[in-house]
Amino acid sequence: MELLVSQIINGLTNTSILFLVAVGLVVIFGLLDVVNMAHGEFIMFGAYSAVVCVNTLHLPFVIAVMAAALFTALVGSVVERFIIRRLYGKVAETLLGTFALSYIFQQFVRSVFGPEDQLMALPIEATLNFGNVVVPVYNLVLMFVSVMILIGSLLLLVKTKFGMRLRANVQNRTMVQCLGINSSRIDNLTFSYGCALAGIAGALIAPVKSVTPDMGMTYIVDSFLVVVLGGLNSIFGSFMGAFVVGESATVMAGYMSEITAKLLIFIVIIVVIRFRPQGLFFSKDKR
Amino acid sequence: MYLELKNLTVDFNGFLAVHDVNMGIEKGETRVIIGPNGAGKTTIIDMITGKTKPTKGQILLNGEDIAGKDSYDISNSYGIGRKFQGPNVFDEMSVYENLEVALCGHTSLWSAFTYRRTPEIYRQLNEILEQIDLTEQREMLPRFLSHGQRQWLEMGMILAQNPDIITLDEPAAGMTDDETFKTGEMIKSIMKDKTVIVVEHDMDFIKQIAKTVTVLNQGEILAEGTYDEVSHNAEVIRVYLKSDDEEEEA
Amino acid sequence: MKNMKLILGNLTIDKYIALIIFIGLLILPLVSSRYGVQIFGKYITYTILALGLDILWGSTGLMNLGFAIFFGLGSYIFGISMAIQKGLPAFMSFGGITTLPWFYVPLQNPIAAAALSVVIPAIVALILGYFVFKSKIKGVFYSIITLAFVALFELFITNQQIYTGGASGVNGIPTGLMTLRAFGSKISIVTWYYIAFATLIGVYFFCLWLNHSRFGKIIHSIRDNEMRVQFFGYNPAVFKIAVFVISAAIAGLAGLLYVPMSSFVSIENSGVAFSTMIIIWLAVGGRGNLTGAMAGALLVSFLQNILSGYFGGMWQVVLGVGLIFIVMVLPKGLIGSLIEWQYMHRVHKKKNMKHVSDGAPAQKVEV
Repeated sequence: MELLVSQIINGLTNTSILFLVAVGLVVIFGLLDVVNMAHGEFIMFGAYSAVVCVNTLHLPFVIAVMAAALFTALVGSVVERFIIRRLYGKVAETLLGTFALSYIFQQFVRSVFGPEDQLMALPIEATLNFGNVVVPVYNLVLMFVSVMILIGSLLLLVKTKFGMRLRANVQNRTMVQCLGINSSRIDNLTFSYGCALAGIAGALIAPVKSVTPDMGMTYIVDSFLVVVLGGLNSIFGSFMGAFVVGESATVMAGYMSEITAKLLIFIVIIVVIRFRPQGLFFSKDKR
Repeated sequence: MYLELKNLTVDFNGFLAVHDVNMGIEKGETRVIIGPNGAGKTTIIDMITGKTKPTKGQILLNGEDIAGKDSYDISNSYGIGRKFQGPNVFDEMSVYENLEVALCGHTSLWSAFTYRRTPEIYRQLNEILEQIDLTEQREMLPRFLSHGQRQWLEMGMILAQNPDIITLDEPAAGMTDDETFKTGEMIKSIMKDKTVIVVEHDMDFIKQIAKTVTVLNQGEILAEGTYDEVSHNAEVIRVYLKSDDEEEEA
Repeated sequence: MKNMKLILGNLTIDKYIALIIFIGLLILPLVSSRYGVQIFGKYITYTILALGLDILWGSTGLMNLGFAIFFGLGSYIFGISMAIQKGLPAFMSFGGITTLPWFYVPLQNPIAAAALSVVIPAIVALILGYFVFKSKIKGVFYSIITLAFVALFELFITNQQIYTGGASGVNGIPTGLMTLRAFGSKISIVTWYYIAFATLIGVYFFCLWLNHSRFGKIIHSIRDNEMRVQFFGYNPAVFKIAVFVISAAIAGLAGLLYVPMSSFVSIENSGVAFSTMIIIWLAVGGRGNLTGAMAGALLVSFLQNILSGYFGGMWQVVLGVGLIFIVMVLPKGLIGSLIEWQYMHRVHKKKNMKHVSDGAPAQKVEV
């Protein structure tokens, strides 16, 4: 029983991490119809930015997270401007283009920092004790930030003028352009925003996970698992997906290997979509 | 009654695209459905051909309910064919191959591997090519055909499919007057032994082909009768005039 | 003679390139060292694998991001079969296993193992395809699901150290010189090379036939306009499942043939990275015309071998930049672009001829 309780609490941490790494992917796909295969590398960039800020420049962790967001947004903006912009609407081509980017980014980081794991201290060492269950405060920070990002992203889309233009841009590009709004600029900002989310995720997981040039691969798998369950274009769906995958994988991992648990979840997902395709892909498919 | 729509209703998230529609169509009849934009004409075709599932109601074919079945099943087992609005053909295959894909009785996986071009098939397809006036263009890719020719090609594909009931969604859309007339004659001559359901806007064209006309407005049946009855119905005139005004405003 | 000229004149350029590839591979063992034969033997299996993906992605439009699974299954099944021919292999006995696990017992017979390495991938594709296509999942969702699947497969294989050799793979397979108990004789690497070569020819003509059969026309129609196909009474799910199963079987066959060319089988040739590589082969060569897949597989693998020797890891950057160039400038791939160029050239010539002869309906030029 105690194992179960502690696993459930650990599951919440994993849920937060899963959501953080998946949300950027979902934003970019949901709004731009681009599956960003370099998403994992943007997470990796975020993690390395944080490592450089904290370990080399001795900046506070909060600044490091912001720097990571800024850096990845900048890279994302450049990538969108010169590559992605020419490939909108072509699914295979965007997949291939972002594949290519992930190769380049990985090798770039490997040649600068080497292949070894970059260590980074936990920014908050304190822990909370609930009975016999010990929860690091940093895990609570992760949960808090992921909920903030969920709410923030939803509000950004629904409440702000930018969000309104963004949604209008998704629905009717030509009309938006006729209204004198620069839709290319909106695309660029959207892509940068998605990349910044990946950067934040990378910075936040840097202290608790290993930071290597090929770390992106691990997270892209998790993100896709979440996304398969929650829907590729629904932010809230991906939160639910993260919750289901995070909790069940962690709870089951108490009794079997985590990988077997994930494989089981995948099989369940595949079987379930046969009977409830609507329930899993929350949003209707486009085109 | 051959094909019967009973209390058919579609609810798109609170918007009643089709509301409580009842319609009976006899075997061999050519029925035209008209109505202003958004009246629910295409949605009715969508339901008959299995693209959209009705929220409520039945579609009875010889007494059997086919509502909500998959479109391939409806085409295969119940012999209902469909021509889309705007030509919907395979642009990367020749005219002849387009007809070949549509050919009836070879839709199973097994026959996809065992299919042979028999003399009988040649004869059948050549006949269709003549009917749709594309014999000369049989080896061309459809993307090099004119708009009207592409429409006829799709019509020919429906003929090759050889369904019992043919649904045509605005077959004359975007055609010149001559082409429209030719299309009307085509429908009349080649489909006279079939049940045909046509959705159309063009009044001259309707006059040319229709025996019974059903008028839809805002998802409901407004009037039903012969062309003359309907075209003199005061309410129909009102709805059509109103919608014309709106179109001009927009 | 005139007929012959007519046929050759109408062939598209990809057929000539395929012929050149086949002739090149045929004479290679005569001029190359044993090492070269082994390397190109591997490339032949890659080429077969690329053909398998081409009928799935090129012809049907299903971009499978986890295609290496089927190659991996084929090679693991046959590789483990070879490794257990002389008792328990090291990775199993180190893992504490004393008797062969029951599910490996059938693999003691190499003929059965060879059959299974084709059949098992097909069955996996059948099951996955049934759930995915019957649920009407299409487009990018299919790609994502296959990617998630291969990623989990990779984790699973790596995790099952004692049964699969884990991250280091299945070692101790005698290269080329493999004793097949059924025949009791040794087969040299050159013989294996020609077995693989013959298989490649067979698979190429099978795929060519498939693309030109009624089945091919239907899958092309599904790729171009799935909705329209359904209203003619075809069930797209059935055809997608069928093409998925066929392509998986071809990949399994390629995986089986890979085993004798390589001394070991590992996740490197069945995981996410390799799946991506297959996609890149097709992107570089061009998809839907078979030759593009073969040329892409050979070209990229060959360059990888040469360039990674010179540049080390920087090869990845070269590959990335090259891929971006292809995607942005030649989206149809090298062979696809050549075919298009030839097509435009022929149309142009025909137009000029039309001025002279005038009349005669335009002939369809095969694309």
